[in-house]
Amino acid sequence: MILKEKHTKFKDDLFIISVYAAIIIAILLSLYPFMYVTSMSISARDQVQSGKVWLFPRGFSLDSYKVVLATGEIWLSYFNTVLYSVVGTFFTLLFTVIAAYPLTRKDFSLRKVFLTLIMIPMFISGGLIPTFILIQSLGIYNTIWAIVLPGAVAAWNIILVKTFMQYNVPDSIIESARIDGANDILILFKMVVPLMTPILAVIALYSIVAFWNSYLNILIYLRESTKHTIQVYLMNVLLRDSNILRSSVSSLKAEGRMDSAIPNIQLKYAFIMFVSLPIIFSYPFLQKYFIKGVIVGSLKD
Amino acid sequence: MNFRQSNLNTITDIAVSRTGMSRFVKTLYKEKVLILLCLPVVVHLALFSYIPLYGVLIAFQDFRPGQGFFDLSHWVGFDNFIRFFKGLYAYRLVRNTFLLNIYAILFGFPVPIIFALLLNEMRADKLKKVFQTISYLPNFISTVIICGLVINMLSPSGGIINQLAVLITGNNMSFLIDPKYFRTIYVVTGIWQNFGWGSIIYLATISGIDIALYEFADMDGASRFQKIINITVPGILPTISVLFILNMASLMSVAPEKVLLLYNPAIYETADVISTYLFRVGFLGAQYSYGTAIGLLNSVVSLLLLVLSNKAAQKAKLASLW
Repeated sequence: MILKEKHTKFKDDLFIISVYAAIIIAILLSLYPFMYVTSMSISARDQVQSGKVWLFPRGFSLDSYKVVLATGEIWLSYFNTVLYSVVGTFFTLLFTVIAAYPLTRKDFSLRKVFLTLIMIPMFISGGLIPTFILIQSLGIYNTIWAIVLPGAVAAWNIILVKTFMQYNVPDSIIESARIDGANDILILFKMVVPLMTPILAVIALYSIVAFWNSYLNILIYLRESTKHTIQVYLMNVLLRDSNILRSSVSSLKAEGRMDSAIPNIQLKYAFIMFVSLPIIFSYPFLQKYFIKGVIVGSLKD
Repeated sequence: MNFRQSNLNTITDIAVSRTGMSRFVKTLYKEKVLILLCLPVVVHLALFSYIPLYGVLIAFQDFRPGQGFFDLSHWVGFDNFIRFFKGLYAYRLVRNTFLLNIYAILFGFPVPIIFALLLNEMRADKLKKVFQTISYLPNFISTVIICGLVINMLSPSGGIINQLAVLITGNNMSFLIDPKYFRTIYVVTGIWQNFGWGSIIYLATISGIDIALYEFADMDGASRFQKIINITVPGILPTISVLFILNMASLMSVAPEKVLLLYNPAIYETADVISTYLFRVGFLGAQYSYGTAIGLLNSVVSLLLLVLSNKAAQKAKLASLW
């Protein structure tokens, strides 16, 4: 008995050590790219140029950030990103809520029909090209509507909100409001929606992240670069050798605010930091909403 | 006699159907506010979901740009489909799509599970939360940033991973233009991005496992490893099964965003997948009918896979989607 306990305890200790080791390795690997980009963006130019930076910053210089902040197109594209994200999320929330409410009314005669109509596109869709042709035919090509409207109705979101409504908004409240003579629109927006802020926050966050990170949509439907988002500019700078940052360096030099060239690679990394920092900073505070979304979403299964 | 009787029946039928109709219309009128709420959504669905669905008909036409969906001229039947199958690239595209997903599932599917199991063994709660938060971050970094990072870190001129490769092998490597590295790059970056976030659902399921089971195991002298294998894993098996089905169902669909940013003509051999070919040739190349045909094929196959994998799970008595 004692031998068995000792044996198991040793195995257990060994096991726990390997568990912690594995976790720490995984976390370090997760963190390394962030560390690398940060260090590269704030190190001294010559260190970056000679490839000496690999984990910690060597030297210190915020010049590359100066360049990024001085580039007008970047601010414009940031504005576009925020605009599309906010407008798109607004429409998503609106459509999701007005779709979910009728689905919770068990006495609604068209409930099953409506639900089926919503669910079918989950399984099959026209695809990229027919959607593109449609957007052109609707006359919303090259406008914000091509970006914010198509994704507003998503079966996943609607079912999530519907489930939440059913669990959290007691029928009795709705019934008594009906008896008092309120119509459904009033009930929905003045009574039900305020009770649903948790799930709406979750959907809003997922929606904002999706809009924030998307790039292909923008590329396909928006022609002028003045309408492009930060991800598209990022793509052009990181992957298509766009020279908007180099132009900034030239103009800063011309204004006398910068003395020599900055390695391209450092400009790129500063740009990445500039785009990612808001997400990295706000994320820990918003995390609980995201996780709630995953869990509520899995409950419906 | 008969004439009068049949007359009577007809009148009764009309009367009943009239009442049925009016009753239905009355119900709709009573529910007019609810219907009003549904209307925008229905219009949206009609416009953005169902009309494009109807629009796949252009796969059977030789579509001209001015045409519009409802003009069914230039009908060519299955020509576009035959063109795809007879083409040089059909096998390569299908193979690449399939292999990319298979590798992603083979190497990527277990990682969040293992990570969840590992995290679950941690006692220090505060540290565990910190580790979790850190592991979730990569999920929110955009595809553009990840691909930009990958390309820069693997670049032959000073990329950090190349420097490592030079230290190890003495040779500078051109990872990005050598076809044999693409799948690894794709899968590894996918794992990096997803293992933390993917573990959430498993951890949530694990927290629902009856603690008494672990206590019984303790009494039987089980080691922690044994407890994981015999209690925790069976406890999350339904979750694993459902997620596995979903993964299998999308075996033939690869989202083009990431591949488009990582690939280049030198590595089309392994990197070009169905969706990227569709984008490049069908959309950018304005061969709309051809591209739509490919897309339709892909959608149908994916739907089939979904149904099949669900049936397989039902047969194996594991949790299924419906």
